[in-house]
Parts: sequence; C-alpha cells; structure tokens
Amino acid sequence: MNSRDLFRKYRRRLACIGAVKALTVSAIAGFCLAGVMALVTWLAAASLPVVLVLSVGLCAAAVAAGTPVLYLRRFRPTAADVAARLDELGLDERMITMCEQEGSDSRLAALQREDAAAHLRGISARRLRFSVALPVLLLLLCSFLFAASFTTVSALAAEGMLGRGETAEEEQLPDEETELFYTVRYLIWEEGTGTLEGETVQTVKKGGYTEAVRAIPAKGYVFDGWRDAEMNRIGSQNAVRVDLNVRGDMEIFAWFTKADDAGGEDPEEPPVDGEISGGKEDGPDGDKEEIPDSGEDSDSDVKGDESEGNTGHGRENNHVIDGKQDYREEFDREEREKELADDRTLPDELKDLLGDYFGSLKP
Amino acid sequence: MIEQDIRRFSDTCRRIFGQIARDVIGQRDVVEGTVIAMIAGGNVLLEGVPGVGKTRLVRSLGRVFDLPFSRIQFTPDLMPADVTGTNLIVHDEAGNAVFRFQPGPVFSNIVLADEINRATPKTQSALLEAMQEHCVTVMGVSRKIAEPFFVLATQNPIEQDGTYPLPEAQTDRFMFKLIVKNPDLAEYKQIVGMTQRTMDEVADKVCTGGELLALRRTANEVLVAEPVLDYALKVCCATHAESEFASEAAKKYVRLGASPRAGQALISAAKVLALMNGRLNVAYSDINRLVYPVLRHRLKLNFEAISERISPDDVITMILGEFNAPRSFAKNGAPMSAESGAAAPSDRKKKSRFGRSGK
Repeated sequence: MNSRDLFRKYRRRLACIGAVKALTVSAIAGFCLAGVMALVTWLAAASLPVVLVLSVGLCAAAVAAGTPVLYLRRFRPTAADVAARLDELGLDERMITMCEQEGSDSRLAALQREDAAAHLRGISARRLRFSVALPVLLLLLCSFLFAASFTTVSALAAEGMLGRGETAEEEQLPDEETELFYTVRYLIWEEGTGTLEGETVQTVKKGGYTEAVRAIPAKGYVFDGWRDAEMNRIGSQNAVRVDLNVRGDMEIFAWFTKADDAGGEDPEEPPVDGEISGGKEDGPDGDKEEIPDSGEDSDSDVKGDESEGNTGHGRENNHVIDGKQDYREEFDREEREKELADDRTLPDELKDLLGDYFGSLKP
Repeated sequence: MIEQDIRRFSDTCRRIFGQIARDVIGQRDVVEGTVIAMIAGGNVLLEGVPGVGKTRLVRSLGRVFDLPFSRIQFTPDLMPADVTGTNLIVHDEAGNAVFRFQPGPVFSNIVLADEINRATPKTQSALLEAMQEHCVTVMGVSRKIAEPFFVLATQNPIEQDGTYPLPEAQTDRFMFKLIVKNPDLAEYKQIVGMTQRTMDEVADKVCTGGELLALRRTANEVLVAEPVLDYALKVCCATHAESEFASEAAKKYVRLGASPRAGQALISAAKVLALMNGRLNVAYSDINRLVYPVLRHRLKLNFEAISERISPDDVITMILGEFNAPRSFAKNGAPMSAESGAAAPSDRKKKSRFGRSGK
C-alpha cells in the first residue's frame, strides 16, 4: 500500500480543513474590501444599488474567487503535508520518512513502511483537528463588523435615513465657520433733520436681532417713520427700532419731516413717535421682523390715532404740554408696557427682552 | 536478515542495560549515553565528582561487551609514550639489538582515561590520533588499534588547580560529554547495600566486540528523513554566531560553535537511539534528546556568558527554545531513557522559523 492510499482519509480531512482556512482568509479579505467600498460609497453619496453592488457584491466576489485560489495555492494538502500532520500525532516522523523512502526498494525501507502503516492504523482522521488561532478569529470578527457597519450606514444614507458623508462632514465644522452674519445700517435720509442714537451699523447673526436705535428729530422736525432705500415704509413707525429675525443685509433710513409738514404729508401716516414697532412686516429682504407686537395692536393704535385726529399739529399739541417736552412717547411707553405684561401670547423670552428694552428707555 | 538484525539489536540492548544495572545503581542517562556512544563508535567524556561510579561503569561495560579494558591514570608527569607505547631495544634470536614496539595501554578496546585533565597537553594529545583514526604512530610507524575501540575519559569539575583543560581539538573528538550526578537517596541506599556484599563487578558478558560492530552496522541503516536531518544540522549551525542560522543566544554568548563532528555525532547517535526505541527512522525527539551531550563540550562561551554564569546547557536550551523545541527534557545529565524517548506531541507541533515541520 503506497502513501496515497494510506493517506486518503486523512488527506480528505485535511482538504476540508484547508478549504475552511481558505474560506476564512478570503472572508477576512472580502469583509475588509466590503467595508472600504461601503465607506467610499457613503462618502461619495452613492445610491443604494451602487452601495449594494460595490459593498456586498464585491465581498461575495472576493470570497468566491479567493477561496479556491487560496486553497489551490496555499491550503491544499500535499502528501508531505499530510505526513507532517500525522507525525504530529505522535508518530515520530514515521510518515515523512515513509514518504521519502516510497521509491526505495531496500528491505529496511519496506520494513519502515510496514512499521509506519502499522502505527497509522490506530490514528483516527478525527484527530486531525481544525484549529484557528485567536488573532485570526478576532480579525475575522473585526473585519465582519467593519463591513457590516459601514454597509449599513451607507445603505441608510443612500435611503436618506442618515446624513451623507459630505453633509456629515459639513455638519461637523465648528459653528463659527458656518454661521452667517448680516450688516444692518441705520441711516438718516436727509442730513440735519435729526440724529440716531445707538449703534447705527450693526453686525447681526442670521436670525438674530439688532440693538435698539432711536431716531431723534432735530429742532423743528418730527420723526416720520422708517423707510427703505426705495422710500417704502417698513415696519411700524416707532422712533425706537429693533429688527428681529434678521436674514439679510439691510439699510434702514430714518425719515424726518418739518414739524409744520408732518400732519398733512401722508394720509397713511404711521403711528406717533414712541410707539413700539410691532407685527410681522417684510423688511428690505422681505423676511424681516421687527419688535414683535401684534399687527392688530399696531393697526388699532394707528386707527385710534387717526380717529382721534391725532396727526400733524393736533398730535403735537396733544402731547407737548409745556411747549418744550413731548410727553407722548412717555405716555405710549407706559401703555405698551402694560399691554405687554398682559399679553399672554408672547413667549417669556421675548417679554424679558422687551422688558429690558423698556427699562432702558426709562430716564 | 534485516528483521533478525533489528530483533537482535533490541534484544542485545535490553540485556546490556540489564547487566550494567547489576553493577551501576542509577545513572540511567549516563549508562544509556555511554552505550549509545559505544554502539555508534564514539568516545565519551564523563564529568563528575569523585566516587559517583565513573570507573565502575567503564569496568562494567568492559565485562558486558567482553572487551579488553585498560585504565590510564592521568597525572602531570605522565608521558605520551606511557600512553601510546614505545620502542624498546631488545636482542633478537640472532643476538642483534633491534627495536621492538611495546604497545601502551591505548592498545585496548576500552580505554579508561581517568582524570584526563590532570595530564599535560602533550600527553593528552597522544590520544588524539587514537581517538580519531583508531591508530597510533610511534617513530614513524602507524599501528592500527583493534576494533571496537573506545576512549572513556573522566574529569573532575572541581579541584582545577594543576589541571590542564582539554583543548578544543581534544574535546571535539568526544562524541558525548555526560554529566555524572550524585545518586539520590534511594540509589544511595542501594549502592551502600550492594557494596556491603562485594565491591567486584558482577555483570555478565552480553556480546562480543564483533557483535557490537554488527550492532553499529545495523544502526547505520536507520533512515533519516530530510527534514529531520536539516533540523539536526541547523541546530548545530545555530551555535555559530556567524552562521545564517545563528541563534540569538549564540550571537550573545558563544565564542566558538560546534564543529561538523557534532552533526556527525548527532545523527549517528540518533540512529542508535531510534533503533533502541524500536523505530526504523530518526525522529525530532531523538535529536532533541541528544543535543545536550553532543553540544555541551563543543561550545566555547565568551566572557559575557561566563560573567553571567551562563552554562553551555543554558545556551543549548536557549537555542532549542528559538527552534520551538521542547524544553521539558533533562537539561543536565544528558538524554536518553527509552521511556522518555517517546516524545511529547509538542516536540513536533511547533513550526520553527527554520521550517522544521510542515504546516
């Protein structure tokens, strides 16, 4: 009996073990490849089919192609391999000697073959155990987790359930780099007609609000509202202006008219000075908000003023008591404070803001 | 024919050990090492303190093999001619004065060179030719020594004053250096009990010199697989610091590595050991068990090893460790009991950096 016949069942067993080893190694390579491809497709924001083809498909292809190649090139047991493995089971190199002496016709070689065959009879093929080193197992596990996690992430991103790689990258940038700031300029339409108190050029974060600016008419002039560069009135016509929810660069002009002309210039004259601008109105960019107040209130004020004929000279006469000081603003501020305190529709944060604002106006 | 030789070999070895055990209590490894060396045709250097049975072992071997035995007590004033023999002027039948060679004690089958390191190097070297070529040249005439021929030398590891350490050329001619240890208590008790009855050796003859030579021829037929031969030679090469197979231990501690004689001795002895164990091929375990007695006297250590109290056996252990060889077998006292010859599976499981075993 030659070694081929003698080793048949052991060789079959080692071939199975070799195939499993080849599968293990190719699976590690396939998982790694799948993980890398999933990462690439996630970063490249690829579609779901592309993700599946590149990740799962390539993994399967790597395993399918790598297993036979590895088996044939590395793990297929030769007769010498089988002999060496059998010798490890306590056969004291009888098998490798037998393989070497297979072609010898000496009597001693024949005796040695008989001796080896006799010792081999007691060896079960099951004693050739498949053992995997712990590092290989860990590598297999890690590569599988790597592939599975990135494929899942990439697939979910492709389905829109997770952020894309590029979006995620953007979101990870610090706020300072992504936040937008706008410039709000408060100007006087005609020099010499009045002044502005407060910061006239303000840089405001997107969605933020400006600090209060107050329009103070020069002697002989009265404040006649805020207008944009195209002379359109914007917001309520309170002399103190705060712009909320800033979403673009703005240029806002304070408009003053001579005290004599103030009453008859515009039939749709805005509310008197001292009234807080309120309600949502479009600014120059069409999405500006001013100090929140109900537009209805503002309108009602205007109407009230108009109904009382409180415009032009009459308005000034009603509020200038001592001939010097215009108390209308003081009066209106207290009224608005009271209204504000009673308004339950406003959020507390805005109430606090407005409270601070009114507090700053107190002498 | 071969089958008969193999059967005879096993039977003879068993009887040899049985008879020697009647005279020498314990020292199993030393006895086995000595017998292996004798069958393989090698000389043995026995190192041990006085009184541990070195001389008794040699005398017993002489009885067992039924071989002439001569003992030379080496002393500083021993001359080479005292070993090899000399030409004497004698008168022949015609009355003429002629030289006649008077053989020295070296002309024997078993020579016990007792305390060999006490003689001068000149006298020590008188044994060189006899040990290697088994012949003696005196005054230009070479004379063959009868086969089988063995030199069994002893030396005392202590009391080094006034001694002449054997030169490398001399130690290299010993196949084995065996360490004879003190007996343990049970052996001690047996020794004392036995010597109360008689101090004489009682071992019976087991085989003749011719049969011993037949055993040697049988052992030489034992097969050695290529990987096993490679392994044995790589272990020897690993003792050379400049070799491509040099071990880290050799690079660090060894001044002079084993000579090619070490490889020859290792394989020859491994064949005998394999056959003793009933195997017709040499195994890695045979190599591993014989590497200590073969290499320990062939390694010359450097100053670093001496200063760190590293012994040759330690270096061999390190070398085998680098080969992933087992470290469990006896480090001192050499190899070789038949039982321990059944190597553990771990002997062969490991794959060394030298590709000792398959995948």
